[in-house]
Amino acid sequence: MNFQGFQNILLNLISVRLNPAANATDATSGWVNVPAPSGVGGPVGSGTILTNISTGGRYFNISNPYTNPGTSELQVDLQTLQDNVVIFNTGGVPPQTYHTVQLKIDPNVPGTIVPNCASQSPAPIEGCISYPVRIKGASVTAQTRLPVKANKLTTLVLAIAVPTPITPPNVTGGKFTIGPQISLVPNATGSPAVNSLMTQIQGSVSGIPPGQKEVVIAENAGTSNQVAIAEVRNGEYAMQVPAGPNGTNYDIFAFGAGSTYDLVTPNSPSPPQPLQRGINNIVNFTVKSAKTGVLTGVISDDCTINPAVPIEGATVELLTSSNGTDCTTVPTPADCVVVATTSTNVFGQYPTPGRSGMPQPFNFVPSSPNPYAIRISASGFDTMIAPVTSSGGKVTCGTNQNCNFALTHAQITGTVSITPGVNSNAEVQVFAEDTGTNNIVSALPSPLAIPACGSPPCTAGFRLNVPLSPGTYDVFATSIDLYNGAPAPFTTHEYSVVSGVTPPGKCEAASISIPTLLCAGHGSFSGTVSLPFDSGTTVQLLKDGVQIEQSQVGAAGTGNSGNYSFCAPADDYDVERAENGVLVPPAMNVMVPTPIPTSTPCVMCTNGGVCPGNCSDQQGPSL
Amino acid sequence: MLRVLRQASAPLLVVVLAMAAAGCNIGNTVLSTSGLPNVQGQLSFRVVGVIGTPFTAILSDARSSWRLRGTVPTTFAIVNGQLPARMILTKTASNKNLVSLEIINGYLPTMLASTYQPYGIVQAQIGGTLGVLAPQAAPDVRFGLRAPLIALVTGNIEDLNSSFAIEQRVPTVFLFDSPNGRVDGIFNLDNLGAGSMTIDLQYQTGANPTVVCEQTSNSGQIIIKYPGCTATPVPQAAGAEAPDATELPDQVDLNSSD
Repeated sequence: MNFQGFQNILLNLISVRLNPAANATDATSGWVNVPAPSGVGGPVGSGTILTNISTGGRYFNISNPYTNPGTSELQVDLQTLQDNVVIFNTGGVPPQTYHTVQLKIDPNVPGTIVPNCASQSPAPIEGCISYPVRIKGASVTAQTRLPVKANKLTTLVLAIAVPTPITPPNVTGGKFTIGPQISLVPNATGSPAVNSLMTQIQGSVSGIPPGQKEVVIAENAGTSNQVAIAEVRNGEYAMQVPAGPNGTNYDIFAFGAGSTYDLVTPNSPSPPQPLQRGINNIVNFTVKSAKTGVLTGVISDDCTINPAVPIEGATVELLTSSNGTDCTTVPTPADCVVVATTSTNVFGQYPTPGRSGMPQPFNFVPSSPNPYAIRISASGFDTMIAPVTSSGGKVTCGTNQNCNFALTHAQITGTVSITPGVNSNAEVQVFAEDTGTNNIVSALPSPLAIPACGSPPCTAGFRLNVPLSPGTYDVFATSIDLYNGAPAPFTTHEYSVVSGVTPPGKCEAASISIPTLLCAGHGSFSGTVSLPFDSGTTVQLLKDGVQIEQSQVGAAGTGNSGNYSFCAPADDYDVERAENGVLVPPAMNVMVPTPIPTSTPCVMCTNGGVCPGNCSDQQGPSL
Repeated sequence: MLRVLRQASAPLLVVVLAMAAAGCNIGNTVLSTSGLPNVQGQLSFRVVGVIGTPFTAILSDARSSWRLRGTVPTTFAIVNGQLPARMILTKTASNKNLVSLEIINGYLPTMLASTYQPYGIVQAQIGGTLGVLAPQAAPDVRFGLRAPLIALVTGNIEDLNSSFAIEQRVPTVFLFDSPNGRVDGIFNLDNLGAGSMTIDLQYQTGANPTVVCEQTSNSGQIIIKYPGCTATPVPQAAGAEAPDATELPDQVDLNSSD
C-alpha cells in the first residue's frame, strides 16, 4: 500500500473471529472469538501457552468476572506493519474448518489517521494532527478455508489492506473514511504447515525434572523482547514467529523453575540464522535438575548517600550463555542471552512479580557452571553490568556478593523559554543524546510546565541526569502541544538545540541555556532513498547538526518502497540517510516554509499575536 | 470455563500485517456501598505495548496531578477524579518498541495513541481541554497493586466520605484524588492461582517524604489503611524534612460503618 501522504494509519483491533459457515453474518451462529490480550495490548506469548490470558470482553459481566474488565485493544500502525507481521494473540478454538474470518475493529474508536500537510495552497485542512476514522462497510470479512486440527498449532495470518484513495474530511477535525480489507496469507499445505511470512521453531526438551513446568522462549536476538513462549508438553514444543524478508535472528532458550537454562543464539551452529520464512527449524534442548536461588537487590542513585535514593523503574536483566562466555563484557557478546527481565519498585527493589502462568525467573536462578551477568539500566544513568553466581541455592553478585547497585550519572542544568498559549501552560520536554548520534539517553521525568508570565517568553529551569559515558551530549527541547484543545502528535514550535554539552564529572552539572522555542506551525515533506536499502535504513532530520527526528524507509517490494516522510515544524533542517544509525553523507538542506498566517483565534501556538495557518506539504530531497 | 475450552480446542495463533492494496477498564461498577451515593464510572489510563518498556508520565485531572514511572503494562486509575484529564507520557528507551496509551472511561476505550519512536511522546485527553495541568496531588495517595501480570483484582477504596468499587487487572496504580482524611483499601485477588498479591499504599503530603505501607498475601484478600499500617519512608535526597506524624490523620476503623 502506498502510505505516502500519511504519518500514521492506526487501527484499534478488538478481536479476530471465525465461523465454520461460509459467508457468515452477525446472525450466523458458531462464531469463535480470539480477542486482543487483556490488559496488555500486545502479545504475551504464543504457541500453546498462556491462552488463559485472552480474557478480554466487551461488557461488565457480573456472572463471569473473568471476562472483565471491558475491552482490550491492540492499536496497530499499518505503516509499521508493512511487509512485516505482528502477533495478535493465541486462542483456543474448536478444531474444525473455518470459512469466514472477520477482523473486529472498535466501533466507537476505530482508529486514527495523521496525514501530512496538504499539497495544495492554501491547504483545505491541517496536516500533522490526529483525525478520527470512519470505517466504510459493516464488517471487515474474508472468505477462506482454514482447517484447524486438534492438538496442533494453526497459524492465521491476516493481511490488512486499506485501498486508496483514502477520503479526507472536508474540514479540519472531521473524519477520514477508509475501507480496510483483509485477506489470509495461506499456510503451506504440507506438514508442518508453516506460514510463508513466519518461521517455525519446534523440537524437544529433555531432562525436565518430573512435575516441572517448562517453557521455550523466543526473543529478538540481543534484546529482552519476548516474541513467543511455548509450553513444553510431553517433552515437545512448537511455535511460529515472524520472519522478515531476509530472515530474523532469534535467541531461543528453555526455562523451568528448577532446572538449568539451555539456549541457542544466532552464533550457535544450529539452526542457521537468521531464521527464514516458511522454514521449520528443529531446535532441541537439554536441561537438568538444579538448585535455584533468588536474585534480589536494590538499585539506587550513586550521587546520593545517607540515605541512598532509590531508582524506581530501572530495568534489570539477567544474562547467561551456554558456552561460558563472560557476559559482563561490553558490548554484550552475541553468545549471551537475556533470560530474565524485571524492573524496580518505588524502593528501588527488584524483582517485581512475574506473570500469570510463569514463575518469576529471578526467584529461580539455577546453579550453573556458565556464569551469569546482571545488567541494570535507567534513563539518564550509566548502565552497569556485574557478574552473578548461582551455586547451591545461593545467588551472589560481584566481588562483595551484594546484589545492590548504585548507578552513576552527571547532570545538565539549564533554562527553557517559550510563550505559552492563552489559558494554557506550555509543556516542554528536554532530551539528551550521545553527541552526533540519534541515541537518546535521557529525558526529563516529566515535562516542564511553563505558565504564562508578565513579559513572554516565559522561562523555566531544568535538571537532567545524563550518563558519565560517553560524556558529551546534544540537547534538544520540544514543546508538547494541543491543537484546537486536543492533543497534537507533532509540535507546532521549533525545536531548540544545543550541541556538544560536556558535564565536568560524576554528580557534577554542566549549565546551558536553550534558545527560545518559537511558534512556527506545522510542516511536512517526503522523499525517497535510492537502492539498496533495508530495515536498518532510516532518514535523520537534523537541526544545527543535532538529530531530532527519524523516519523509517518503506520496505522494498511494497507500495511505499523507499519512501520517507517527516512532520516537522517550519524551520531550516538537514536530512541525511543513515544505515543502522550511522549517518551516510551527504546531508541535504530542507527549508520547511512557515504556514500563511491566519486570523485569530489561534488554534495552536501564537507568535506575537500571529497565528500559523494550515501547513503545506513539499517535496523532500532524494537520498 | 477456560480450561474446558483449552482441552476441547486447538490453539490458533493470529498475526496481522499490512499489505499492498490495489490502488476498567477499571472498576467502572456504578455501585453504592454502605449506603453511600453512586459515583460515575472510573477513569483509567492504560499503558500497553511491548512488555517491560519503561516510561515516565504526568497525569492530571482538573484538580490534581501525579508524576509517574512504570513499565509496560501498567494501568493508572483515578479514583474520585474530576474531568477533564490529560496524560503526557515519555517512553524512556531508545528503541522501536510500541507503547500505546489508552484512556478507558467506564467500560470503553475512548482514546488511543501510540508511539514506536525512541523516547517517543504520546498524550491523551478526555472530558474537554486541560490546558493547565493541575498542581501536584495533596495528599498524593496511591495504591499500587502488584501480582503476577494481568491477574484480576476487585475491591473497594475508601475515605471518610466515599467508597469506590474497583476492578482492574494488575499491575495497576490507583490514584486517589483529594481524599478526605484517612484512607483504606480492600482488595481481592480473584484468580488465586495467579499467586500472591502485594499492595503498596503510598502517602505523601506537604514537605513530608513519601511513606509506603506494603502488604503481601497469598490468601486472596488484603486490607490496608493509612494511618494504621506500618509505614516506611522512601529515602530521598539529604536535607529533606522528616515526616511529621502529628500531621497525619487519625487511624481508621474498618469495622465501623463509615
